[in-house]
Amino acid sequence: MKKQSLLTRVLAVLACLVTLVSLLPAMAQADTRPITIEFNARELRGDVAPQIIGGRTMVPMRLIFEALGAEVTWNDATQTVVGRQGNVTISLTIGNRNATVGGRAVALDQPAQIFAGRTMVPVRFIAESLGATVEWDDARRIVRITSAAQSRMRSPVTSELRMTTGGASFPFPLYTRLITEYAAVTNPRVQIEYASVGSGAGIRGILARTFDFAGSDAPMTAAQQAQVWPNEVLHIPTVMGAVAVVYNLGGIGSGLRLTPGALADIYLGRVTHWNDPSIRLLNPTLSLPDQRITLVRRSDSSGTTFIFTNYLSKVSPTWRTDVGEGTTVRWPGTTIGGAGNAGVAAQVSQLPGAIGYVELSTAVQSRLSMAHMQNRAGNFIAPSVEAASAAAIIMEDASFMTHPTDSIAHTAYPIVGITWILVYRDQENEAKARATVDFLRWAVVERNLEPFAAELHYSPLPETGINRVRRLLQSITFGGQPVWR
Amino acid sequence: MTNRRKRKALGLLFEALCVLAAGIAILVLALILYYVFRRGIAVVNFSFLTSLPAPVGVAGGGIGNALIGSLLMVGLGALIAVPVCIAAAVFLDQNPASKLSAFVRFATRVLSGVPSMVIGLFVFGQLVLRTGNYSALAGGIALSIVMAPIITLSAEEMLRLVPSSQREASMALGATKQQTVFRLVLPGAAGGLIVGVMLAVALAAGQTAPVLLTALTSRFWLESLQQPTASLPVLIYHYATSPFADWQAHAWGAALVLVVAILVLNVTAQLFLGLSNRRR
Repeated sequence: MKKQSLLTRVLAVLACLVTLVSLLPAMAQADTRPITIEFNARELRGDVAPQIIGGRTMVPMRLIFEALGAEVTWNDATQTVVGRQGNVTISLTIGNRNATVGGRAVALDQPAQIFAGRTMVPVRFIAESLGATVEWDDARRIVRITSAAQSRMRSPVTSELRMTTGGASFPFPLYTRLITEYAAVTNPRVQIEYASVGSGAGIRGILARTFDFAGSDAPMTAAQQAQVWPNEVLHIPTVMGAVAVVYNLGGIGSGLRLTPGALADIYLGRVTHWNDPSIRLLNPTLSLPDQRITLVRRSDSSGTTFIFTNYLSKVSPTWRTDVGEGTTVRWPGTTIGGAGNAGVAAQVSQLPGAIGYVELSTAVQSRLSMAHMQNRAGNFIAPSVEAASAAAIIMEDASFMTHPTDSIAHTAYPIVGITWILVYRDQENEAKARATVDFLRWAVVERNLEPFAAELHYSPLPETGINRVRRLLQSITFGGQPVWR
Repeated sequence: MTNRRKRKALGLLFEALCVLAAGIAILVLALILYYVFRRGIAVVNFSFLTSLPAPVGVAGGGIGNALIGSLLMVGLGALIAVPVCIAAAVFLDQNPASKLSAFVRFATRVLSGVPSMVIGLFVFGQLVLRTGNYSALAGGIALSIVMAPIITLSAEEMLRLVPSSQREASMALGATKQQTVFRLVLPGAAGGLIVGVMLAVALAAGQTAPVLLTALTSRFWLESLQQPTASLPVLIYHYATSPFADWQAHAWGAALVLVVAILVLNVTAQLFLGLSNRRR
């Protein structure tokens, strides 16, 4: 008896344990922890808590309909709820498994029902019928609803962010447009300030870290890069633009033909009059006046000057040895300065016989006459968005780190520059890193800048350039981890 | 006789020249006003004054954030500069001959001659580079330095106008120095002090360089003093040099708003001066 009783006791304990263990999952199923409803990452709270009934999460009807921006009407006679959002109408009747969505009948697992004095409706059914997506987080018991409008938004950061950037004035109009558009497609919103202070100030800003990223038309020098070692400043190309050679010759409109040699000779001060044989020979049909050529240049440190002198250095050995390239140079001839593209345009339009160089959008907006430049293939090309794009189809420099001036492409305009966004490869702030990468991905890689670029006379990058940008963005890191997802 | 006639003729000539010079000065002001009004009035309306700037090619847009930014930074500058400068002026007035006074006066005059660009650079180097961020606060500090010499010098002049007979009377009645300053000198000169402050504010409101270097600019609403902030002069500078007709039109509109604001400040200052003089 005693032996048996010991065995019985052991068995009894075992039986108890087994029962307990087998009961555990059942207990887990009867989880009574509250359910949270999140709508576009914000908690939705009603006067009656969400309930799980028959495996379906039910919520007060007004809560979910109103969050989704639907109008709710209650018909007391037929006990029917009707929700209307745009052209979608949902109707549910209390206790009836048959609902209708936009006139079609839909069978429900759980009908709408009264609970604690409130009409409860199945949350997933309502949200999905109105175009939202619904996720269930089992561990934390959260129903996550994302509205259709929100799922089209980008969310690179978890809370609103402002970034300070600035630099090159050449892409300023485009960047302000992009920044406004980008703020409208991000939630939480990312607001980027871009100050048009010039390429030189942009580079100084990124070196001093007063700018989160900078715009520049001139690449950083090796000495400047050395200052940030072992970090590195990446040059991310965004758009290209033509630099137009503009002139004021009274009745002569756009279309004066110039060869690289003639342009270099004019700016070297070797050709001093418009009726010089070298210009007349190129333009036999024009009656060129016996007028002095007035050279106009940028008085400020300028990316446009860099592109222009970079071109002249490529086409004229004399220019390369005597003047060289830079954002400011020692001009060999007698020149008149103008501040900014607008300043040069104003000087040229006021001085008869003047010649100058401005970016294409300024030339178009100021209605200046533009020269047709002879390219390397020998064709005379008018500056245009298309002719600037053509310059980059055959990039001799696959890194997109130099300006595609004097392109070998047949239809290319020869004086074309790239503008860059300068970004640290290793970032210091995670949110800013994510926003920077996402902004540039949205603008350049996903080509959202292209419609605005054409409108403002900038040329989008060719496919090879976009691939280069993707690789550069993928190499940006925060804490050793790539930021690109 | 001939001598007298000659003197009279010479006097008339100089008077005519003076009138001519005054006329030219007024003509320039009138031309500026006329031109700014003609070009700017077309774009100025309620929504222009209250909305954010729009990018190129997008209709509408305004100068709302720049207006608020300018008001805030000028206000901040005045808040910093006014107490310090009035206190300095009281010191100069009370100790007119001390060595320190001579030095303060000299330093203030030098400061009034420093180009505003240099003041901007100073604040940029000391504040923006150190904190690594452009802000309305830095802009306000830069503007306070711009205002400081004007307020100090004008305040000293105004305090000196309070007659010494009144001060002596105050002392004779047994008032302390402190009581004399606070109950007699400062209230007596109040009108003049306000005029000086207003003129300094009007000058600061039109400054581009110190603000551009310290507050930068912004295309969004102001949310904190620690952020880059828009201002009218910087907005005008950017828009006027852009190649786009709609931005240029907005530059004229913003210029009109700024000129009118400064004009109103100056006229109010003149009225104040007239009022306080009449009272005396």
